[in-house]
Amino acid sequence: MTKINKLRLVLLLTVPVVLSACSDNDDAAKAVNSTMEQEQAHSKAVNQEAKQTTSKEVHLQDLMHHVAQAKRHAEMHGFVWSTTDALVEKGYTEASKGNEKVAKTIFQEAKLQFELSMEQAKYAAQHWQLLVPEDD
Amino acid sequence: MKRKIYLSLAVACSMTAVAPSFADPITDNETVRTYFADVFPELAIEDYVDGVYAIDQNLRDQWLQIEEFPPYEDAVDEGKVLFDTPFANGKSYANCFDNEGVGIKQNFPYFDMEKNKVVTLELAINECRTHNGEQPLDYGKGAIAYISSYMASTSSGELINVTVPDNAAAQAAYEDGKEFFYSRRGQLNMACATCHMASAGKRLRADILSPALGQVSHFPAFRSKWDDVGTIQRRYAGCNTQIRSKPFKLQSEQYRNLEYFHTYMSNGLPINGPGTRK
Ligand code: HEC
Repeated sequence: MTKINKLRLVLLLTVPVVLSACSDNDDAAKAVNSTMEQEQAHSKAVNQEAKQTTSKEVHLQDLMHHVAQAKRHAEMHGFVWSTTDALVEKGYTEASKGNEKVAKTIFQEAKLQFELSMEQAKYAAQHWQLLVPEDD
Repeated sequence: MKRKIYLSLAVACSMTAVAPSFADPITDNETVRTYFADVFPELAIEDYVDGVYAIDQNLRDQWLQIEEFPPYEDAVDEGKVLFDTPFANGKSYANCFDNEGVGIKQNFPYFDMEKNKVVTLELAINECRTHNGEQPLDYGKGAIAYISSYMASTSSGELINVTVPDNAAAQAAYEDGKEFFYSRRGQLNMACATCHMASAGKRLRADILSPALGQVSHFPAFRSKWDDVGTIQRRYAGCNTQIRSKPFKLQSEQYRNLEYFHTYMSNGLPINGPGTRK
């Protein structure tokens, strides 16, 4: 994972986690909206960064292999996002059309989503009880 | 100074993280009821079976009008025909269930000690079919939802009576369902509990969020969005998709365990399915 990717991973995970970890009573509507905003900002950043950096650094075949691996692991955790499989498919379509640069951008996003979902699974395994109401 | 603030924040967080590691199912139910009694002091326990229509008068009025000519009646009729039609081997659904399948919905899901798994009504319907040499039905909608609707209708007014036997595997299945319910997932990082506990009664876009308590009582439900009846697990998949989480297969172990926990939560409430929802 590149440094920027790592930073993004940490940021994207810590924001909702820190927001949610201590407050059990967050308002779903607010949370949906703010998470969507974060996510839109995030995908913009991904696209921009990918446009600048992807093609020289990684080979498409390697990236595909990493994505397949990340998918297997993520599925084992059971926290896969509904957005990711479609991305992977789109990546393959672009690759088959010879659009290597676009395919890489998409695969990188898919890989990141698989990784985030695994982090989410680990977080949930340790902290799910935060949302259980307490008896008073 | 900064370090001190971080430290106290960390301590505060870790204190909230120290939740009871395992509460027994009965205590869980008491806790959930106490929680909702605080949120909705005006509701009696049996009101929860009406879901969102128990907490919003406008929606309730519209719903009562729809219920005057219930759109699920055809599904129940069709379900009865299917239920009564013998299999190729001459046996029928009635041979697979206690009391010939009449008035038993309130006991589902249950933990089958021999099969070592949670058995939902829809799973039992399909197991009955395959046991008798028939092809299983697709889960979620269509024939299986009709049969299940008919069976639910024969349990109308019976009190939900799910048991978690004194058995490690059964308790683990219950606990697994509970963990699912309270775990944040999907790109939107939300748990069932985020919407149906913490935000119950609040507005989410065009909807008011129903309390988790009582949600299971009227399934299968006729939804205007589906223009048909659908099973509770179809609803789980929809709610998972809403938070951009990849839904599990209907009747997967994850969803069966979730249904086990989720239904146990409503123990003692009357079956009023099928029902209608938006
Ligand atoms: C983003 C918020 C959100 C999350 C998270 C969510 N749901 Fe829902 N759910 C809704 C909305 C909105 C409705 C429709 C209004 C209502 O009845 O609450 C609904 C409806 C339902 C219903 C039907 C209620 C009825 O009276 O017919 C069930 C059952 C349900 N959800 C279960 C779940 C379960 C189980 C989970 C976790 C897997 C879950 N939901 C997660 C938003 C959510």
